[in-house]
Amino acid sequence: MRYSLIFHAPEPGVDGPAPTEEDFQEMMRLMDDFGQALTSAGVFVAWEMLAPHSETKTVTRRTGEVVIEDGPFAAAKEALAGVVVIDVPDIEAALTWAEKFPGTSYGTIEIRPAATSFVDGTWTRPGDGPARSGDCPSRPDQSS
Amino acid sequence: MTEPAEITDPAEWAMNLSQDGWGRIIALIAAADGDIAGAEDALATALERAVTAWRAQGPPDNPEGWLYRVALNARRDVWKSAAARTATALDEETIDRIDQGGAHIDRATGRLGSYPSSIDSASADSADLAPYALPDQRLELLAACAHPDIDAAARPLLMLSAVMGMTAKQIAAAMALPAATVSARLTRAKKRVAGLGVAFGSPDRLDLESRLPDVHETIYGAFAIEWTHAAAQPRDGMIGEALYLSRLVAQLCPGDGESHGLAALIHLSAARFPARRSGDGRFVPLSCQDPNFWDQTLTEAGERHLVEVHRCGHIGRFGLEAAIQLLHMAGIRTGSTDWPMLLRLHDDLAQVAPSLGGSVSRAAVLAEVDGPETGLMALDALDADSPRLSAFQPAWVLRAHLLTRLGRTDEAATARRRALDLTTDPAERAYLSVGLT
Repeated sequence: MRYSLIFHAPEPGVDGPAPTEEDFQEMMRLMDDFGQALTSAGVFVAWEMLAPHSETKTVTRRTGEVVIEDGPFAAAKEALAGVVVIDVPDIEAALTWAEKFPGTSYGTIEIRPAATSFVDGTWTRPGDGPARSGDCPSRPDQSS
Repeated sequence: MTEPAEITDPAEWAMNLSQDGWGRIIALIAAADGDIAGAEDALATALERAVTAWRAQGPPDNPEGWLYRVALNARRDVWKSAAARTATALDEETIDRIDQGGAHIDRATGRLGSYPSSIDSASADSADLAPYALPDQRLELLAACAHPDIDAAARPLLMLSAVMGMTAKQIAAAMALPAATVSARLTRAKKRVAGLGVAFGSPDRLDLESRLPDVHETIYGAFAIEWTHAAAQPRDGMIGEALYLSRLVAQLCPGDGESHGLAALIHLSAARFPARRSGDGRFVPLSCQDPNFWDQTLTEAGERHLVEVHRCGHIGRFGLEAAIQLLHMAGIRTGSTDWPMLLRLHDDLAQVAPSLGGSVSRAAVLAEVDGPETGLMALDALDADSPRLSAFQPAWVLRAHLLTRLGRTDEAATARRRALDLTTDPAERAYLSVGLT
């Protein structure tokens, strides 16, 4: 089952001074640890940290024609800052990983199960995929 | 400065102020108005001045007394100018209080004499000051750092900073937090302490005793950090600092059983740290550890504190946990564990401080006394009380272990996979994966 860990944080410099180069390097080290742990556990799917709002474009055809704009420039102090996609059996395992996400010291992380994912050229829904052998019951008392 | 290295450069003297010295001076100065940040600024000023003054005139016989008086003077300058600027923020009463505090020290020791009016006079009449002349108010400072109104996560940071003189950067490195985060939390916490509006210099004895559990909890929290970040390498965290703080509290409260219990627990746990990973970084569970890798000095210190617990005649949560640790360690060393005694200790612990982790440990001990079936039943019984059990990794590890012993291999594998799903530490994952397909 895929979960997206959706990370929101203040845009650099919006809420107080921007982090120093040293702060940045330090956080990168912690983030790197997290990425290595996800990889060695075999649950890693993808991870993108996003550039600030100022480098964002939006595209819409709501009005019928293609409109490409800068932005959005949301008024909110916190903005979408990154997405980590992991593949774990259930929400409890997803939470276990989310708790270890280093960015929670300056932002918040939202955990959402995928409704459907486009993988290897096709749509997959949770449960469609090959069930892992010995998939676990969610509660201990079902195991006996 | 061409003297041998041991003959200390006075500047280095100032820089190497002991942790004891730092905490004592901060406690004394911050006691007046609860302003830890202000006290730290004052001590930093004193340390700066010490470099110049001690180079010029040689170090005083009692560097800590000198630093205290210069820092206090620096602080009083701030109080006075603050009082001059705003009558409300810091009034004459506060200044009187610190003056009386000083007078009290004067009376108590008969050594400090009158406050120096300048740095020169400070160094001139410091010759008759002995380090022990400074009264110890670090217990009050510890209690202020562990105050219930302070964010629980900030309490250990505050202790490390105020009592031990660690910088935000050092604390950040030890706790694997960004330095900016630590700085921000420290600033907020110090404001909060100052905002409590209470000078913590003279709480009565009873009040201090009622706050000891918070102090213990904070120190234990600093030791047993629940690592907030996954990491490829195990972290040592703040073992040395927690050892120091636990010894300090036991020393400041020699008659308190739990203070010794905490010191015993931290010393015994720390003693085993070198053995928790094999030479090539693999995870080694307690039962497979080689006692020769345990730190002998720390083990003995832990045992001594446990004897003190007994002498105090009061055993609480930390004392019980320390006794449990010691019994486990003795069992591994001798090859025969006193499981019935361990069960009794766990029962007592469940009375004093029930916890999910404690209940799971108790089920493990019960399995050794009455067999894996009984242990499993105890584990199942927990489920009714705790919805968190299905996400609690140690419960799945134990379940897997007990099912294996009962020969129920498929269920054991299932339980082990579940434990694995809930494990983020790579070494522990590697340990749990052995034999799983």
